[in-house]
Parts: sequence; structure tokens; C-alpha cells
Amino acid sequence: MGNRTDLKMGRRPRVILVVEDNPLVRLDAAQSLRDAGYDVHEAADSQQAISFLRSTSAVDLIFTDVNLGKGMNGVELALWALANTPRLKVLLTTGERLGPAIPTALGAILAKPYAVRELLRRVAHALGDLARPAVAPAAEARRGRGC
Amino acid sequence: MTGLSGDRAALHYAAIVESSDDAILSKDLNGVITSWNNGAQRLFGYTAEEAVGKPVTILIPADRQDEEPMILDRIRRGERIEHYETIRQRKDGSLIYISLTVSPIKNRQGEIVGASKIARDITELRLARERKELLLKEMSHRVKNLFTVAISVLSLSGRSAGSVPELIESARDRLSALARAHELILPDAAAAQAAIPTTLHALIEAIIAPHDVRLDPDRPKFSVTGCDVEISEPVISSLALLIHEFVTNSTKYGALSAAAGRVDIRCEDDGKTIVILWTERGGPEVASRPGDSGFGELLTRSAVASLDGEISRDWRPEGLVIRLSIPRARLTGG
Repeated sequence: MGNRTDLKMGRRPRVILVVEDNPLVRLDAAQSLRDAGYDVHEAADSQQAISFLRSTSAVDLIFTDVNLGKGMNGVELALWALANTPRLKVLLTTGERLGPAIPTALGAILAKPYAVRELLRRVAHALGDLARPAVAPAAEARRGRGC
Repeated sequence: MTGLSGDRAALHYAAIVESSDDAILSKDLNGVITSWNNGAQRLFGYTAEEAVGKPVTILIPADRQDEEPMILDRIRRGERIEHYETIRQRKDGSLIYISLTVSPIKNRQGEIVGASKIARDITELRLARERKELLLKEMSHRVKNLFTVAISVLSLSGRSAGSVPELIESARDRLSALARAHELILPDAAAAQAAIPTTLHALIEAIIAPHDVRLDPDRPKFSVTGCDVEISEPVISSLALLIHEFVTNSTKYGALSAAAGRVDIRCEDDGKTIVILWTERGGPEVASRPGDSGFGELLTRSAVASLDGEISRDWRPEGLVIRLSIPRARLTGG
């Protein structure tokens, strides 16, 4: 899963921007993604996120909470990001049961709290990785085990 | 019904109606108002002269006019309507939430000739209910959020812990610090999103409290001085985490690891930026940051980033000095 496949195939690691106002939740998510081989940057609010997105074009996915405290919320941020960086994929998350109406363009929301494997699965899916018929480490392992 | 009869009974009941605070009125089967008490005048604004003889629909807002035929129907069938919550309109056009109880009035022959209506102003009740709903929603959101945060604390503590006991200790410590920090705030029902703010000093004191063990009552381990500001809820977690990290490190390697050690915390405010100066004294001499888990450093940087702040450390021979600066607007939320 994740960038281990990328690295095997000689691709540069995918870059993910994690946007979340709570430092613990943000750090936990970022570390989990780093462990999976992604190159992760963090932003605590929409302003920091936009600063970062403006400074580089190499971001593959923005993973953002809907509630970001003051300023733009995650939905507005994601829409801005899509409008300004068309190649960018988005994944939204929220702890609210019924958040603001999410435009379908932003995909299904990942509900908090989430399991790490669910986060990784959703990120891979958003990046279009799950659709690939590439040899994934898990599939290789299965073959090896002959089950 | 009572021991009274005839005129005395009639006067008796009239007095009861007049002295009631509730709005009590009656109407005939055409919906025309036939009586109107003081309570009704107070509630709706019309005097008895103005109201009696008019259709009761003058009290009903345009979008609820269909309620009257429905009420009359039920009255004709002999039914009572109890505590029907709806909206009515005052003489000045303003709307009020009321709870309505309507009963058929029968003549001596037992025929239904009209209806009595008791209207109670429930605006306050509704406001209280709305506030309660908001509060419950806010609390439920916070509880859910708390679990998310607690899970993150556990997960992060697990990364840097070398053993299960270490994991338990650091996770408990951090969770306790956060719990103490959040005890300082209560959700405010009227302003659903905002909470009653606490102050910088109060937060610092809440975090250091468990560590403020005074072996010598004349030698406190901590002092918290300087400016104090109200801090908004969103920054509480980050600040609590930072102070907690400072304290934990000090306890392990710094001033608080020594009996004579002490920490002076001073807050300075230049109008745009708040600076928190953490000065340690009386501890072992340390040349630089010891090989603490890089994790604590990560957490610190994460929290500082959340505050849009800056942090610098100076390991002086007398003790570590930490300078944490945060934009004032960020802290106060204003």
C-alpha cells in the first residue's frame, strides 16, 4: 500500500498535505501517512494550507478536516485547492455527524475517529492507486504464501 | 363542582378568570371572540373592547389560518385540544410562541355552543429548549472529538514509548493534562460555537498543578507572572500540550528533576504578540537538549505550528530558557 509500491516502481513519493487544527490529531495522521511511505506536510489551518499550496505544485493529495476553526473550512479549502491545482486529489474528514453539505465533487467523507488502515485505504483510493492492477505488496505476499 | 350556585357561582368563576395570568378567551362556533380576560390583553395587546366581537383569526398569522377550521371541527365533535404548541400574533404584529388548550363550552342542554381557549406564552420555554438542544449538540460533538483526540494521544504515545509501562505513563500524563486544560472551559449554550474563555495564567497553572509539589513551603517550584489574557478555546489543546511537554522535559532532565529546581513562567504582551518565557533554575547543568525521543520535539513543533507561533530554546548554564511567542490575535481568538 502507499508509497512502498511507488518507490519500488521508481516513482517519487506522493506528497500529501494534512490540514487539521488539533495538533495531536494532525500529528498522528501525518505520522501514519509517513509510515506508509508518503511525503507529508502539515498545516494547522486554511491559511497555512494555502501558503503551502501556493509555494509548490508537487502536492498530490490534500487530506483535510472539515472544521478548521477560524477562516475557511475544509470544504471551502478543498474547493479552492481543486480550482487552483486541478491535478490535486482531495480527501475530507470530520468528527461531526452531519457536517455542511459536501459537494459530490469532493467525494465521500472519512468519519472520525478512523482506523489507520481505513485512512490509508481511502488515501490510496483517492490517489487512484487502488484501481491500478499493479502488483501490490499484499498481493505478492499472498502469492508467496500460496494460500 | 363547588358549593356555590347561580349568580354567586357565576361571579366566582368570573373572578377566577379575571385574576388568572393566563390568557383566557372564548369564542362561538363561528370563531367569533365572545370573552377576553386581562391575561389575554396582556398577551395579545388588544383590549376586551377591541377583541370581543372580532373573529379569532385576528390572532392567527397568515400562514397558520388553516388551524382555525381544524380547531372548530374538533370542538364541534366535542373534543378537547391540549397543549397545542403554535404561533400567534399580537396586535402590534409581533409573533409569539404559545401553548393552547381549547375546550368545548356546552349550554345547559349539553349542546356545544363555543370554545374556551387558554393561551400560555411559551417563548421562554422554547428558548430554553433551543439552548438545551444546542448545548447537547455541542457536548455530543465535544465528546466525539475527545475520543478522536484521545485516540491520537494513545497512538502518538505508543510511537515513542519503549515499553508498555512507559506508554501507559506518557499517555495518562498527556490525557490528564488535556483533561485539566479542558476542565477550564464550559460550552456556552447561547453562543453555540464559542465557549466561556479562560485565561493564560489559569491554563498554565492547571497544567503545572500536579507538578507543583512543594517539599519546602517557602520555596515554590513555580511562579507564574506577567500579563494575563483571555484565551479562546481552539488554542487550549495546543497550549496545554506545550506546557505539558516543557514540564515533562524539565522533570526528566531539567530543573524539576532537582529538589532545588524551580521554574519561572513570565508572560509579556507587546500588543501584537504574547511571549511566554519559561526560565529554569537550580537544576543540573545541561549543554544541550539531551537525546529525548525526537517525538517530543515533533509534538512541540506541531503544537507551535497550530498556534502560528515561534519557539526558541537557550540552554544556559543556570538552566534552560524557552521563549514561546504567539500572535495575540491567535491566542485570544479576536
